[in-house]
Amino acid sequence: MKNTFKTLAILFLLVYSSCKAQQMVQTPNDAHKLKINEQQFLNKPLKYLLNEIKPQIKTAFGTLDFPSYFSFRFIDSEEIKRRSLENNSLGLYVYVKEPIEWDFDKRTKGKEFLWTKEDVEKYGNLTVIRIRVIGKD
Amino acid sequence: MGKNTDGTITQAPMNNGSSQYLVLTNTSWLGAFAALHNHPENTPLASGDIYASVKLGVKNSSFTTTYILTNGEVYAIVVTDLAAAQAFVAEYPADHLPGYNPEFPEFIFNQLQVLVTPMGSSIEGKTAAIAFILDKYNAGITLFKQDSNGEFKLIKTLETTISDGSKTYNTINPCN
Repeated sequence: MKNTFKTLAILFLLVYSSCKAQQMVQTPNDAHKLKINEQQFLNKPLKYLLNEIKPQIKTAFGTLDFPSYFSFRFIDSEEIKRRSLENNSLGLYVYVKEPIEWDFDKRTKGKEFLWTKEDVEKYGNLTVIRIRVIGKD
Repeated sequence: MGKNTDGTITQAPMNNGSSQYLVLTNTSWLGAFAALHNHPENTPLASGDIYASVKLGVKNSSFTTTYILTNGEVYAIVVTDLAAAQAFVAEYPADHLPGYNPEFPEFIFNQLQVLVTPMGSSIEGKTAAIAFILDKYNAGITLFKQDSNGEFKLIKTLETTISDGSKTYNTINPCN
């Protein structure tokens, strides 16, 4: 009996910890959950939101505007070009409080739209002020 | 900018912006037909500029043109068909986060973001994408860019479907 309780307790802890560690976005279409839970990310660093995304971001770029924002997609730029303009793919747009310094011409040729570890380092501490998620994959 | 009865062009006193994006336009200037503002952070022509241009036209139908200076270039937004422009903003009203620039609504915004991939995220690329979308939805608004001779040339982007079904976009460079 004692052993059964111990086993159940360990199982419960394992399930609980694995649920807790699971990222919010498991598939691209889960990105809508970021909008649903937007309050959780507002006024927090961008890296906190990025940590909740499991699928690879395959296309990304920043736009300097008021406010500035990042555009993220889970398909690569060649796939984007193949799809229709109107129903292309899911777009995750994350607006930040600070201006974004994003120079397209200074990015590695042929890899301009890749989201890199260096990008996470450079932009990860910018403050999220709005999330928009449009469309589906 | 306005025009006197004898046709001479006049210039209203300049207004300074009260925030990063808000600059009041003098709409009561005699013969007003155009406004000019700069983007000090060298940001591209944006959705906010488009909606503001239509608003000016609605107030005064002679007010057709908004000039934008950014990154050493001059662009012009011209409302060529006010009724069509009004219909466009009614169909696609701005999505506005208080305190910030108005954005295009989701349907338009998402397409513009998709177009960055084939057109690039430079000022030229993003302006060409806006010009294409305005044309596609018959917005009654045309974009121009000033060339090295001081002439304003139409920004026109052509869409071509290639054999595998994907689309390419070719913008006629106004400065060539």
